[in-house]
Amino acid sequence: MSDKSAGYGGDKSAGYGGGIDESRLRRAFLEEADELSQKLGASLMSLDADRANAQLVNEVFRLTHSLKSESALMGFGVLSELAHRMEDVLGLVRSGALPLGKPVMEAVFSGADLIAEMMSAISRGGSDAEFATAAVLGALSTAAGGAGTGPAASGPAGGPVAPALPPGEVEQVTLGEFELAQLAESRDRGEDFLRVTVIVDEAEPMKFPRAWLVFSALEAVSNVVKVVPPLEGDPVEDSRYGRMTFLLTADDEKGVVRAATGVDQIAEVKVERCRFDDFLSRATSALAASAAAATMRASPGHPSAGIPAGLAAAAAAPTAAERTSIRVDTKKLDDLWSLIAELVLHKSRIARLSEDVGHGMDAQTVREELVEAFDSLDKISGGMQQAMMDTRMIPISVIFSKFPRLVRDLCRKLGKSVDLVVSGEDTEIDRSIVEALADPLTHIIRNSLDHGIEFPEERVRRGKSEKGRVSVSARRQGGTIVIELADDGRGIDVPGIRRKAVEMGIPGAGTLAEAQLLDLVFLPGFSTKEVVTDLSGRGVGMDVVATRVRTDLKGDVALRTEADRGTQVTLFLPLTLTIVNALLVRGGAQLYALPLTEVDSTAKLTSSEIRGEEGRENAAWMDEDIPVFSLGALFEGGRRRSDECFALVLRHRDRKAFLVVDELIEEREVVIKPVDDLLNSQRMFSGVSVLENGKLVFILDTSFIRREKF
Amino acid sequence: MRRRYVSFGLGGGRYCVPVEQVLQILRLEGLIEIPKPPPFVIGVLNLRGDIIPVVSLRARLELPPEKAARPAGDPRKRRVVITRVGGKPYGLDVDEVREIVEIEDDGITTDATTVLGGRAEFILGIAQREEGVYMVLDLARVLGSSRDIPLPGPPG
Amino acid sequence: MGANILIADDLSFMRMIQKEILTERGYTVAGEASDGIEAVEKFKTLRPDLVLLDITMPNMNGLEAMRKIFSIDPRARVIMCSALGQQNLIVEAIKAGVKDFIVKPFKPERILSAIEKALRS
Repeated sequence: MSDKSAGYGGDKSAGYGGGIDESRLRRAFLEEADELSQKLGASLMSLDADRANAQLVNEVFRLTHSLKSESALMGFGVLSELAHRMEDVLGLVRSGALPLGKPVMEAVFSGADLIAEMMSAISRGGSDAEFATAAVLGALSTAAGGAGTGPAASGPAGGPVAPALPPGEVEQVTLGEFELAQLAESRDRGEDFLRVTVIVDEAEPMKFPRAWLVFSALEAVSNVVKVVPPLEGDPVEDSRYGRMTFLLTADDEKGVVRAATGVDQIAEVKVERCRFDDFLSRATSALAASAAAATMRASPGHPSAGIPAGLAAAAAAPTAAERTSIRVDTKKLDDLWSLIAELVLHKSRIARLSEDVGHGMDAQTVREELVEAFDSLDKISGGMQQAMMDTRMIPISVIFSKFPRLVRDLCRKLGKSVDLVVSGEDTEIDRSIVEALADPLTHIIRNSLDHGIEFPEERVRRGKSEKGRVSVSARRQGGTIVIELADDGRGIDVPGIRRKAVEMGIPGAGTLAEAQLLDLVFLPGFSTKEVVTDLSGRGVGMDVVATRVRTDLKGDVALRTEADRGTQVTLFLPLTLTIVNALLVRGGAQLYALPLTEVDSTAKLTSSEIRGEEGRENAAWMDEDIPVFSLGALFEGGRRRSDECFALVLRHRDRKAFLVVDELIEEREVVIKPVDDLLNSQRMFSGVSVLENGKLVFILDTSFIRREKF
Repeated sequence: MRRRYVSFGLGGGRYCVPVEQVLQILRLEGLIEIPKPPPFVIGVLNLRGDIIPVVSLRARLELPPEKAARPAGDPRKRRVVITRVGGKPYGLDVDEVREIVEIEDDGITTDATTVLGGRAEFILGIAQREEGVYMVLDLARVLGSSRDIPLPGPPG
Repeated sequence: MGANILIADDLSFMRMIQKEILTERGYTVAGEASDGIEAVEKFKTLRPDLVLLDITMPNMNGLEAMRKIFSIDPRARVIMCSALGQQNLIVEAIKAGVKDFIVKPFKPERILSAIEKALRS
């Protein structure tokens, strides 16, 4: 009836060989179990007089629980089972499912008395085996009525093992829209799509939590898309979790194998490569085992089981999913195709020209035709360059789309409540920086939720909305991508930073301005506090964010914060290489460029059309009065007055303005490079370009037309 | 700990920066002017496509401006020291580049109450040596970016 | 081998058995705790390589103690000891970062194998 396999004292045949002094054990057990039994008796008396006392109920529950554990260890199965039944009944009372009426108290009292008698016998050298417990057990059962009685579990015997599917067997798996989107992104990033099948050791008495352990280990090194059977919510029958299937995507297959085999009490781990196309072409599909499968045996009791050679072979096997391909918007391919078609056209034109020369066409005509042909070729090659560049660009939604789920998960784990607002997801960024950008952005959001956003109660106390707000936005500003992440939480503790800076011996820490103090957050040593509460165990401190953005991505990151109002992190990222069609103009001795997309038109302005005082001039354009700026005034500190001048009509979002220039030079392509802060103190430029003749051209950031003052 | 520094001369004084911060030393040629520069930025250099701002150390340290008739040193010795601070390159306009010196950390005093003219906050410390006094520059401050304030390493 | 382990269980008998098993294998029992509060205190001062934590203890139960331990050191290695039937509590513990769980009453090989794997992570 009772399982003696875990006995140390009651059953001499089982147990741990050598090392444990049996008599000492027995003495210790007696001492403690006796005390527990005494306490149990006393507590029950008190409880009888004060049936509503929850603390006493708890106490009694705990005592029977402890008695159950200890006696089971010593192999006193009968005692253990009795204590267990009592614990069950008391558990029901504790949870409120069973009222503590007379029959229940009586039954529990009888149980306690019997236990005391058993303890007496045991201390005299006897055992619990001779005691008849059927009557008391019956009384306990009856007292509990129908309220959740169940057969007492008898030790670590597991439930029935789920039958293993023969290899290659097909399973029906359905993926929803969200999961399919995750798969698609993963495929774009060139990750592996794996099916991990895990069989839990038969001896494991609780398979549901065991499956959770595997899930948790896998989640740390991969993106788990689907779990069969699902682990969310309350467990159904425990035995169902004896065999688990995880569909996941990862960039490190070995890491996945290590994670799965690193969990104890797992009998078998199988990792197979899957094909994205199996899912992405159909909504519901049968999972066919594809490519090489590696089967590992990790047996319990031999904790040093390594990963056998079979795995290395499998990892080297050719992958079914293409890794170096990328997905490109077909419109971009169409554009490229049209350009190629034009190229072919002009190529034949030039070919004809050379024939014409042979047939005696005059030099002048030839020259003119050549120049025209060359111009067209020039434009086409530039266009093709741009088009190719475009195929490398993908919308930042690739990264942003993961944030809603991230925020939801974090809210759950942290007990916070947050609204996430995302904008500018279709801003395009170069494919190559997507990888490097995802981590820092994710970390910043975790930071916001961890440290920035307060708990709902605190927010309400401070007169804020219960739900916090996190916003993520992206936009392009000339040759730079600007990403802003903001929260309306408690802000950064600036005095705390100052204190830490002084502690660290940073020169002049006492007198640094707030902006400079905030910059310190990006130094290693400052970030450690943030790293401590990282949830996934893969810590990325703010210093790593800074390094990643500044060194790897050649961009910049800045912080702004206001106590109790929130924090804003802004990332500036240069586009790798941007070629833009621009209008080249001259102001004084300097060349400037305006992206054509921001130029509405060119115009001539006479001084009579310009009204207002210096610094606030206006003129009429179409039906509205718009401000007049001049390059001379903006950069040279003086405005040249002439009767008539050239001007551009600039457009930035909904605003328009005139920009008076000294000379309109030409329309051409420029390669935009990021411009250093030191040269851009007024933030007038969105980039800089170097022409073939070595001349420097500053690309104007038209947003200046929205500014009130300079 | 002994560290190596590149030393250069400016307005009669000796300044130095850790070797790790120096990328290149060039003659001052091909300086390109820029519109509305900050007072101490004299222009930019185009180095293999990189646009590098050039800072006049003299102006930045607020040393007396060079007298046109009697330049402080031999104009042929004038150089631009290309440094890297915060991952970005910047050029420093100096009168001459001298040598590489080794200085002990504790040979540098941070209590710079008197500096040979100029602004004390750009100086990390002073090293007293046989041949004279070397002032260790705080490049991060000089280039106006506090994000690279160094953690305690060389004194500062 | 020789890792430092903190044993937390309100039953001295349990602690004794665990201690015997561990020392036999060459581990060092850095300390013992008989309730959640003591477990957290001893974790702070002893900083053991691993903690064996019983889920039901007086004064502060295992889950709470576990949470406090993780807030002291998120990389702490904790193995939860539990009786049968506390699935949800164990899952809670796993979500918080517990490395493994052992069901009581346990076999010596089981506890050793779990400790070995946890120490290797």
